[in-house]
Amino acid sequence: MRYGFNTVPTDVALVELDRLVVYQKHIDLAFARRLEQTLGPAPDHEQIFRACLASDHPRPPATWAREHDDSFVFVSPSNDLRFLGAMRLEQTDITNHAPPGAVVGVVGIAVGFSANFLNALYAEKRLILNNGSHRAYALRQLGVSHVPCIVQHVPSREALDVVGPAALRRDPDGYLRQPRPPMLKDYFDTRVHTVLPVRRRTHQVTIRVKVEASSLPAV
Amino acid sequence: MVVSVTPEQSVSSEGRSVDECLYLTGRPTLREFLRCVRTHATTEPGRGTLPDEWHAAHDIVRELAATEAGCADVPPMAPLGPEY
Repeated sequence: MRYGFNTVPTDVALVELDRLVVYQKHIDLAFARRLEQTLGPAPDHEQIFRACLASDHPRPPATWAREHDDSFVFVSPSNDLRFLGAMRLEQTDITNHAPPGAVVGVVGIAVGFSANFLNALYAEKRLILNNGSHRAYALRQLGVSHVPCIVQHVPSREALDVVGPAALRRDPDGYLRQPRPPMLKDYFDTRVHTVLPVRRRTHQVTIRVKVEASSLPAV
Repeated sequence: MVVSVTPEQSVSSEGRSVDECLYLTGRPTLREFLRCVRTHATTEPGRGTLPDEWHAAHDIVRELAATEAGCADVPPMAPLGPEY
């Protein structure tokens, strides 16, 4: 919550899945089916709440390794794998490694998954699903019509430019002004979707460390 | 050093890992749709099938623009009830 939802006013609300605007053009059906299996055929309110808003739901598989002296590779089948940011640490934060020298500071680089709450943007009187397409799809497929959702209230196009995803920033009118934008219920309308057999892909994040040391004249 | 990941696998007859992907056909442009199929799909339908499929879906999208205009506007949002 702390890193993603403090830019615009945010609250938690019960929203109707069929009224959500979507910008994601595709759904990985294998992933959605795994979610459906996890939820079971008739999820109760607690299960629905945990699927949408709890941070402890199952994480996609991921692994990482040092590739060269200066690079580390993280791999996951989930396209939510991402660079989460750099952190300033102290030697006291490191408990399982002997210091390689007299440590002045430690830089932590985090790679992982987003907060992953079901999240929608409320902009220009429309709700645009921003995170959780597969959960929303799976829940709707199981017959759930309303779900708890973190709603970010976006007061202007300028704010949208800060908190909105790239697809929405590229074509805001396509989602906010079009009389009938793409909506979650379109995933269930066989007339406007097709199911393709696709090659499975993995997503990779590579962290390369670049160190520069130089001598400058002291002022 | 080898990085490996072992997701749940499904394997095509060619021995490759294959998933199914639902794609909103009539929304992106025909060019985007064709590019997506050619880039990601393991099999490509015969010539003419994809454009026909896209045009049929696009016609429905245009129809929806008339019959369901405004259905995304002012969606209800309620506070969570005690059941949550």
